[in-house]
Amino acid sequence: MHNIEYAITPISGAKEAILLSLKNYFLKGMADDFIDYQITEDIEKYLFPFKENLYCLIEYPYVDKVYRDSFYNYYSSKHYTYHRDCIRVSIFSSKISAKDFFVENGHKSLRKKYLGFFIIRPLSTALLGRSVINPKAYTVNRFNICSYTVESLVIGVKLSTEGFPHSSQDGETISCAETTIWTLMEYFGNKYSEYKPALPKAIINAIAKFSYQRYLPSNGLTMHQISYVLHEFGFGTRFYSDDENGIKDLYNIIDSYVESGIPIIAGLEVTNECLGHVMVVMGKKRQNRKQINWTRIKKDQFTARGRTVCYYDATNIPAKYVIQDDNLEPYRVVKLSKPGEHYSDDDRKKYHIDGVIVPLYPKMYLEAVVAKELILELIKYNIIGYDFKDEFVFRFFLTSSRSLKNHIASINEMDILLKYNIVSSKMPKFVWCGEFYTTDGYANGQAIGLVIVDATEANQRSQDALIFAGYPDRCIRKNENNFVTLPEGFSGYIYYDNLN
Amino acid sequence: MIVITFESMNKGNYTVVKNQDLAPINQQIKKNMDKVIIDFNKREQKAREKAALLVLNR
Repeated sequence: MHNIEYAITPISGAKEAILLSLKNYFLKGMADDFIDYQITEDIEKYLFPFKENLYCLIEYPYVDKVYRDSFYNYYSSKHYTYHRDCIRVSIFSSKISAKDFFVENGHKSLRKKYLGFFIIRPLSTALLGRSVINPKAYTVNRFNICSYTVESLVIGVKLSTEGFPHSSQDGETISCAETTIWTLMEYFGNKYSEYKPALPKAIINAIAKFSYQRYLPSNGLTMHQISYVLHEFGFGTRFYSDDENGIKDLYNIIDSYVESGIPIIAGLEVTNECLGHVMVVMGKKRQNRKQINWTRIKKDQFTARGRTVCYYDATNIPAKYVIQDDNLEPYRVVKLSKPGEHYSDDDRKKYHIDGVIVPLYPKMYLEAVVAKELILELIKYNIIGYDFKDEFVFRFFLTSSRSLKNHIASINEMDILLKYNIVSSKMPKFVWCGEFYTTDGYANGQAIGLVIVDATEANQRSQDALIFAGYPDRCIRKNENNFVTLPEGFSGYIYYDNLN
Repeated sequence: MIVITFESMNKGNYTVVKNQDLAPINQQIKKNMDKVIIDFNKREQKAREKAALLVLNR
């Protein structure tokens, strides 16, 4: 086929248009062009969460790099003849016309309306391939996620949007485990120059070093193997699991990393059923800060200055999380205690989170659990700490020093000298931050304290990791090799959000 | 040329924290963090053992 063919349809007609495309392209020339009911059901299910006023542009043939990689390395070697091209469906927020693609005014309109794409593979058991769709395309979209800018060329027009990658597994070259690795590498590789996206063959090659038997078709991976592959691709990974200290600690760890804008891999299992699955947790649906009922939030405590101090850890505020699960549509929202809630079968509804893998920058030596304890330890001492009143709110996250300094510099309400003393502090690439609020201040996003520690500090036992501490009555920072106390109190700081 | 330094911006309005004042605090932090780190390392070891068991393929 030498021409690319296009079809424009409102979302209400997308199912029929896609089925027609399947008949015209994937089943062309076949005596029997019957489409299995399961395929129709899969397409209906995929389209259901979208908003009603969207428009779709269907194009064929489309060379999808991920499917093409699997095709050349696996499907082309099979006896059955597989197509090598895919169908791409581009999504727009409202009506488009063919003319829009050929006039400058039309291009401007398309750039505002473009919401991403999804791929349809010529595989009857794994139709829906990779996608990057802006959450604005969905009716349920009031959440914050890790995202990156994806650029596409649609009928010669360069378009871009923000989203997080998703794909269903094809069940042969990639199972859920490889799909989550692909998802993470697609995100990190497109967002940060330190990493590169990884196609299925590259993932399989990385696993091959760890395998004792033939790798294709895929049998899945253990968390150990997933971590190994991510390590090969340049991450310094950390494991955390549910243990005798309780699942709540694991949920708090997940929350800390998601609030830090780091998507994590969560391993799921159904106890005693040998059912293992894995998904990516990459966003959060937060409760409105002004509507938090603090009497229902668990308080933590520590001892300092001869008394017990109670505080609220922000990770204990109930929230739901956004996941990319390759068995479900993109951007499902779940409670961490019920990651299988969107499944229809009883077995998989019982999934619980067994462990997580966090892909970290390799020089991040101070991990979350220890860093949090260190910040709470530092504030206990009068010289470098502060005696916050009972029931303060503590929020903890990781960020790049670049992003943090940019946030500080752009806060209008903050004193210029205070801003200078923070942004001129020498910082490593990544820092852990502890924000301190009163409960009223948390509702308004106005912090009364900020402690910044070095995430690349391997010595986890001393104040050497401290970079800056801002309290209501003074600030502390390093000048040369000494800590100095600055008489000006910390104020004007606004809640920092790593998610989009 | 405008030079922006810690001294020029803060104009001497700061107090150096003496290392001898920090030394006992550092010692106490180390003692308390040692317990945290030992506990964390034990949990991490168990997590690693668990990670090798279940095959994720659904």
